[in-house]
Amino acid sequence: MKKIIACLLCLTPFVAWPLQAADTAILQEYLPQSCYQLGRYQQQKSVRGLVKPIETQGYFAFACDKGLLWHTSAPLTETLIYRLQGATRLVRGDGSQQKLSGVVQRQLGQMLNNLLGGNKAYLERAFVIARSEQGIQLVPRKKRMEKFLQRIDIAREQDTVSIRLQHPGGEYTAIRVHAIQSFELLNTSECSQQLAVERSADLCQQLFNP
Amino acid sequence: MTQQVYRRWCRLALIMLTLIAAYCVFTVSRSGLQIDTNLRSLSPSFTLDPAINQALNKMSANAAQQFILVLVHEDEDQLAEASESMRELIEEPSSPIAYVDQTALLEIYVAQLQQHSFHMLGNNAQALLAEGDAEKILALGAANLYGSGGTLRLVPIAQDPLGFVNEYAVGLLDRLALNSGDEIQPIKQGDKEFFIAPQMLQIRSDALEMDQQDQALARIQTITAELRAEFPELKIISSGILFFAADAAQSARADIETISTGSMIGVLLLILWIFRSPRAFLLPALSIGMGLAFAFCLCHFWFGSIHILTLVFGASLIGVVVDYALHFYYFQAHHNYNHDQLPLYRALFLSLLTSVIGFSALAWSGLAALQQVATFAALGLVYAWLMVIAFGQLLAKKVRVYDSVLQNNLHSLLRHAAKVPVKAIVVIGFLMLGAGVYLTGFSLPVSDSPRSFFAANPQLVEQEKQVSDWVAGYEPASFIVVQGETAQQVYDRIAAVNARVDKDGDSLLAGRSLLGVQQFFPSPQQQQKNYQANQVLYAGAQVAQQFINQQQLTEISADDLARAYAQQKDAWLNPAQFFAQANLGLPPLWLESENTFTAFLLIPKGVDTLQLNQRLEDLEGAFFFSAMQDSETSMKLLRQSAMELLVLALLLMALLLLTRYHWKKMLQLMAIPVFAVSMSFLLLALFNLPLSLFHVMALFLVVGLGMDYVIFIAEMRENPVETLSAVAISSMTNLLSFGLLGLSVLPAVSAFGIALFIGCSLNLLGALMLASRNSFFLSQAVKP
Repeated sequence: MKKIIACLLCLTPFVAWPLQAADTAILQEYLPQSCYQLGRYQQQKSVRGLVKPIETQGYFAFACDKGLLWHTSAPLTETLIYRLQGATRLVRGDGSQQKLSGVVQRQLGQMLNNLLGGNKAYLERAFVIARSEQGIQLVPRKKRMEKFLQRIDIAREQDTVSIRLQHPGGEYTAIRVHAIQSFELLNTSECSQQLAVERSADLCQQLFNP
Repeated sequence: MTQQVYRRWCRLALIMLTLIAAYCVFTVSRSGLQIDTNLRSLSPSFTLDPAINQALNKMSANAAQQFILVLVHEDEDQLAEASESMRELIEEPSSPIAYVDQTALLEIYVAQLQQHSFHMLGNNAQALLAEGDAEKILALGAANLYGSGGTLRLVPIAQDPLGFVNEYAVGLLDRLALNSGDEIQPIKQGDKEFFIAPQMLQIRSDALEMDQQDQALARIQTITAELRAEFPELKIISSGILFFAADAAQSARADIETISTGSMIGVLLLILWIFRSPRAFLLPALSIGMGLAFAFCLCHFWFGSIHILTLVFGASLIGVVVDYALHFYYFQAHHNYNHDQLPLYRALFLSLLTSVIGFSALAWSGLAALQQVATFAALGLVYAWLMVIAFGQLLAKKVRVYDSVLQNNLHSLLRHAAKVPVKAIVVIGFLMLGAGVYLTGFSLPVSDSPRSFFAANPQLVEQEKQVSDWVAGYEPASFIVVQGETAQQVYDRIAAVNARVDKDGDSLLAGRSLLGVQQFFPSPQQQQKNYQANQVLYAGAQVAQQFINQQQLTEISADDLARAYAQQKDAWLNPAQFFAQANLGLPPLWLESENTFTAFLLIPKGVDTLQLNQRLEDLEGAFFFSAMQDSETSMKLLRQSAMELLVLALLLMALLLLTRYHWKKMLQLMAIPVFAVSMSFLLLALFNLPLSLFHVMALFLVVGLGMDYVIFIAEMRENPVETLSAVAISSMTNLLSFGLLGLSVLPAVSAFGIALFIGCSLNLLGALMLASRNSFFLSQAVKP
């Protein structure tokens, strides 16, 4: 199952983000400034059999005591809400909702929140962390994870963080997180005001007051 | 025939048999030793259905190989660290244990789906394709490409651009509810809150090899000790057959060592007391040892392997030979070296014949297990007997008997016993049997459950129960068997089983599912529907082409997909191909024979199997199977068969005696073993010891020994006191050995020992009464 989790980690854009919260000397500068954050992202994911990578972009909101809201705005509209407690929810562009109770989404949700919460024990256990030319590099400690994820490179410039997950066979997932805003506190109303997406109130409600 | 010629023939026979044994040793040494320890090999019902047998074998192998260690700690961080430390220790290159890896299963599964990709569809895809709305289909394809549907891609995009097959493949993870291994979970038990991290592990190679098991256990102990030293508050709870097997082996070893040492010392002292020379051990040790070796070689050659129970029972039955040596010593001691030994040989031969015939009765059972015991015992006895005749005179040459105290006591006992009239003995005997029958209420308590043969460590049982509560798993030896004439019929019946299990919403499974083929692949009918539905994409409206154009997936050819679609027309996915793979780590959930399709549904642990069985009772083509119940039935069959054969053995022995004695004499002689056996049954019932196969097997030995006693007393009537002395010593050695076996903590061994102790005591009593009927004592008894 670890492999499956590792596989999921490799295929998802969120994986590298919590690495900023690692409690190691090298990771200090990458730690998030706040427990509550909002921002935008752009993602490129190479897929075997396609020359051009799959590109998506959107917004995110993270509350360390509630969970993560990941909104894709292009090329399709879809939001995933990974709550610390309870099942993951999928909200489609037309507003229809679906509870994702499957093992894949459940494990992914648990893992993401664990990572985003800056679980230092997890990061120290899972990766060897080293400084690289552009930033830092995380190499999985576990052989089984290595089968799906060779390394993660993280670089930072002002309010932009670039994360690149390198998979075996030359495949990769590259995420550019930018326009990051930190908050002292984030609640439903603040989230819905700041999150510039359609039905933001409903989506934030799903995260903060389901 | 002179005694010299007799011996010469015996030596010739011995040489021939030894040559045969040497050939068998040569053959066995090339193929390797095979000791069968599996109780199921004894079970006749398992041989009836090869499909069930195959599934059970695979399940047993998995169960023997896999185990769980649950780390328990009140502090989550400490537990996480402990879990990681354990991982490092387990992943060391030389480690004989490893984490259970389900990658192979997933890889083979996906490869199988790819070969039949147009017959597979996820639920969302099925619904939309049925609607036929091209826009919605394209939207779902986009979601699978860019959104949550594409989170995990198992099927390559070139083969499945819309991700509809991938949806089905990823669904396997949900359908199987694969356990997440060493994930940390919070647990609340009463007022206590703590965390657990279950570690699913397995032995790297075949767990049935004892060396591998020992190495794995040693490694587990080392890892456990290291973790406990590093994390003093950490608890480690284990679950798995491995631990029960190790515990049983350890306690059996300790128990048998204590018992065998005790009985060995007792027997040694007794022999030394009577013969006062270690030479006296030579003949019995040599004859029994060689008899065992001969029987082992020939049986192994003939049957291809030897069951552990054959060794135990067979060796015990061959133990009768100790009597031959004792009688030889007594005969030599009381006669001149050149005295004609033919009467002794005749008595020994008659004794051998009765024992061989008696034990051979087991071969009439038609049950492979008992046939093997019969062959083993008969072969061993013949060889041991030949050893005694061939080398007895030589090895008994300097053995003297110092039993004056014993003889005086026996003499006195015989004189007193002679005073009791025959009629009184018969009446007392019948009264005892009648009272026994009355007190037992005309019924014998029996026990055939395999559980009652082995004393499981209560601590391990408790741990097993605890782990079952925490970690989901499937019953290792119970399942539902579904059979049909076509694959579709089996799928339909599986659906009927699920409906019964979930009867009126009152599910027996508490949210879990029966694990079976239906979680892996759709039914043939559904596959056909899926193929038809895919026509919209690949054959009819060419929606796939639209999607490729829309998403600019220029590397993917819609024409290639259409060709592949046409080629797969009748190529539905047959589950048999998948489940035949060796490295799945799964039992063969689907099997096919000529006219029958068989599916096995695994039952989640903790389900009320009694109720499950009831719900399936009248369901056509499906039934609940429990290896435990099946073993119990088999053991019952073996016990009943052995009991009937015990009667047959007595009848055959009686017929043999008729060839030498008058029928009245025969009745007199047969009365002793018959009484010993009958009274043993009653006494076991009176002591509230439920009768098992082990008791009955012991009674075969009781009959063999009893016949030896009466034959020697009848044949050596010129020296009744000496003969009875030999019988008494033989009995005492048996009582010492088997009496101590009766104290064993192992129920099977204890049962064998207790039955033999009771039977041998009664045999001795009978022999005493029979010897007292000798005219010499009868004449002394009537003297004033």
